[in-house]
Amino acid sequence: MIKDITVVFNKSMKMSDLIDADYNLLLLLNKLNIRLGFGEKSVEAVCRENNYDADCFIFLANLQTNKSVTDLQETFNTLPLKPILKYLKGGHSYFLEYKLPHIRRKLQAVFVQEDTNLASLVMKFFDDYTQEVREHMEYEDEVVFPYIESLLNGQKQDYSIGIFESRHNDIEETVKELKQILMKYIPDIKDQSLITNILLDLYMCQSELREHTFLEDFFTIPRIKELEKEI
Amino acid sequence: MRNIKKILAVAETSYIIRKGLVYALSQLPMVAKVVEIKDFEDINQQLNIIKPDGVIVNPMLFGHTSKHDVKQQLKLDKETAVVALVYNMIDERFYRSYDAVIQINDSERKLEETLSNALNDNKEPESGQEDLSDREKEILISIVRGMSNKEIAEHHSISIHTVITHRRNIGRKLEIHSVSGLTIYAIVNKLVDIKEIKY
Repeated sequence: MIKDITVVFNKSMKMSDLIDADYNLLLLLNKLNIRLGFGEKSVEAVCRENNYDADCFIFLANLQTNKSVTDLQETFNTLPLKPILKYLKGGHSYFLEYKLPHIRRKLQAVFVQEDTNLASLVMKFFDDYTQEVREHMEYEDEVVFPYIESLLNGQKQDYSIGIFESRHNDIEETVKELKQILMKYIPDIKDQSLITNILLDLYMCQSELREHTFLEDFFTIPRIKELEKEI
Repeated sequence: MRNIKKILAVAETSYIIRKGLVYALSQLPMVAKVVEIKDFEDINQQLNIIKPDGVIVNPMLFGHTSKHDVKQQLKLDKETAVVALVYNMIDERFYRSYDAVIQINDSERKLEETLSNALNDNKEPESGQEDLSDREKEILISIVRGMSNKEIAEHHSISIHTVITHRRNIGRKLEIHSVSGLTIYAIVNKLVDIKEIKY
């Protein structure tokens, strides 16, 4: 995305100004379950009302929008981890319960007008992908995050973040492939407007997944490794 | 090595210019990522870790004397492009050992042009369209029919190694790697009939 505005975010900014600077941040609110209708309130006030750590919020907003102009690593190491985990979990339910089913419905609407064999292949491809993402995220929700939470409570468990690191696979690749297929290799789709809309969704989905994985691999995992050494 | 995005490193002392250049470079389609080098003490070691395709460096970092081989000085191999970042052009000869020169008032387009020339030197020319060869189409059909590498090799009387090379080239050209993705491609392009597919 080409941005017109570059501003490094801080807590005293108005929430609405922050969104104006990068409207993709609406998704951050959504993943954190922060509702719209915040009027003229500051980021800090909105976070307080929603019981979310404002420094973590600002970090996540800068991570999404201002990667190249902020020192994220330094900031991350000063932040509490629980709100970050909440965000990662929120991201999981966003993908599994909202984003992927939403794309599926649209895909169905497009391919209902096409050859049934092609339709079933495309839907199967998408369903296999959804299953892959589901397994990936459920493992994190059921194994990795509870482990991190117990570490934060000072308890050592029979697991290590290294196990997670070594099995943490790439869930972005398949989205990329689906994008290629729909964009380059199926020329005569009847509903061009809807398929365009799906492609935009897939592009967005890919960059969201990339960022989600980036936060896990480059920030969270190293931090947990340090924590493991301390306990 | 065509169509592969480049990794760049920027070695420049001025914070403003470094940040600005990093941002401008990161916006170019040919660029995968840009790494800043802030510390010049161990620049050779850092470059060795980053292994960039190109380094953009302020020649003043080396002082006025070193007109000679910059690559040798940075211990870079011949493949790595070294581009001088110049505030004020001194003497053309001064930049002779660099692969290209970027001036701070270059336009966006000029910057892109300079870099793509410097980075694509000695590489095979872009062929633009990359359709599958007839042989690759045959291999693709076998893959989609669910044959293993060994079966494909026997069927086409080629080595397994050649099958793997074909598969890699097909994946690279189509940007599709999974069998289910290739199946959709093959059906849409009428290379196979849906009835031949077991899934």
